[in-house]
Amino acid sequence: MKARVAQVLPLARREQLIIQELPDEVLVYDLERHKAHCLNETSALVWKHCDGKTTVAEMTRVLGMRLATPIDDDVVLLALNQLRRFHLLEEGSVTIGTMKVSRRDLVRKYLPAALALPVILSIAAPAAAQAVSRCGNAGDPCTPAGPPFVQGTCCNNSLVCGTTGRCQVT
Amino acid sequence: MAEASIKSRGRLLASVLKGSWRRTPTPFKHPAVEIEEIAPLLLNSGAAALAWWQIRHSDSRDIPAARQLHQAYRLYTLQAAIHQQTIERVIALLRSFEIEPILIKGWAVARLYPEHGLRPYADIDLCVRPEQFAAAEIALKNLPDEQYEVDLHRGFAKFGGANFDEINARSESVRIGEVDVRVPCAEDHLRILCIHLLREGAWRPLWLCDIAAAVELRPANFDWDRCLTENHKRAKWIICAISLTQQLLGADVSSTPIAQRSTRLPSWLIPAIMKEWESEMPSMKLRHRAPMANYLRRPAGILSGLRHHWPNPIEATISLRAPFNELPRLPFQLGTCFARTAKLAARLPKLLREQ
Repeated sequence: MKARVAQVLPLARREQLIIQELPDEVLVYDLERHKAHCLNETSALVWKHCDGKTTVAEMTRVLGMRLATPIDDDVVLLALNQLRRFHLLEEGSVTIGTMKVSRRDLVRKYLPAALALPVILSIAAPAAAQAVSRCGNAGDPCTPAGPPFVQGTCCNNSLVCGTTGRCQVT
Repeated sequence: MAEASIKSRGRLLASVLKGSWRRTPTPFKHPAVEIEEIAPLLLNSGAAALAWWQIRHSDSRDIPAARQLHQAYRLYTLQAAIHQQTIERVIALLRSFEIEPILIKGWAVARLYPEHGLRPYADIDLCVRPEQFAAAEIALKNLPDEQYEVDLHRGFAKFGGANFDEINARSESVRIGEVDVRVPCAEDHLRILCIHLLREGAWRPLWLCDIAAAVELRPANFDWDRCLTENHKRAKWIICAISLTQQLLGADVSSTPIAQRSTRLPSWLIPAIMKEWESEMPSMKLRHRAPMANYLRRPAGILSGLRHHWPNPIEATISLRAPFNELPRLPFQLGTCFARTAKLAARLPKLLREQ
């Protein structure tokens, strides 16, 4: 089983995504689902190598070199599981669902090496982090510059921002 | 908390934002308690990412308030990328109608910052030739969806005058993704930023940071005479706005006319700005959200609406084209209210028909 998993060729989704690389993380906005994510360095490294040609085993090797610490496939698999959960891999490019990876076990295992395990955070707007909203009526755009739309923030007390980015009556 | 409250929250906010537009900001020395205290104001005013830029290398970077500022920075970074694509689309659309707009504020000023994600993006401000305004409005209705707000301006009249053709002739072409976009030259843009700040009652500290960045990063051949225009009163407004960047945000204005003139700001000005910056819901923000015309539908809220629409001393001064001096501002505020009421009354028949 482990040998089979090591030969999986994951492929990153690139369509309908806005990607911004920062020095120690990668930000991704999913234009289909209107969700924003933040990949830490480890997740971003794995995602970057999901080119449909690099096996999990090869990724493990590259990741170990980049992070300057010996790691096993389990770190890459944890990253892939998360990437798949956040719809950042092409559908069907990874079928490793049966390979369970426990984050708790990995924390224990890699703690001495101080390895930053793969993490993907959802970016939610902190309250009031949006710019001036001009909307005053239901149906108006609620986030001034379009996406990322933030549910729950809107124009006045009787309106909330709907999933389409428009104000709707509560 | 008590220690933080000794300094007004507005002053604290100004202090946190000192030099925040620079690639290497000044060393950050504020204790966590002060950041916690002003974080809502930073988030509310669009200055959260700039504050994060200041805090990111300090010991305070991991406190909960700083994490919120960090989230805002990430959000603005993504917004910047999305905003850029939208600008490309809007410009291409207007060009297909043979309209060449000039982009102001927003992205046009964000390019002066070390990263585009350091400021948030609201609507896209475009100035078009006055005679093309109606055609541009029609063209923008062709946008595939309305989720992107374009704030279309008829020339530059509300940003300190000057003929569109003159500003257009001096404008520069900058690359945004796949398209070249015209932006005003540094002199015109600084004037636009200053007039806009004052017109809007200076309620956003972010706009003062924009001016500070535009002053400090002006090109070597910056022509102050062009920036300050031939209009003496308007020139004084601009000088006043630039002096504010120095006094509140520590902008370097050496070798500018401001340094030579030793500008004295009227005593009411900074307190008026502090009042806006300290408010978690500045009046101007509420006003944008609910124009007075909205109360025709919901008359119940008209009293609070009137309160929110009471002009602050700065916008009242600009609105009546008055000088920034020591005279009391109340007459100007009253005058502005009368002028607005008259304008609303003139539009009333049309608004009622639209009900």
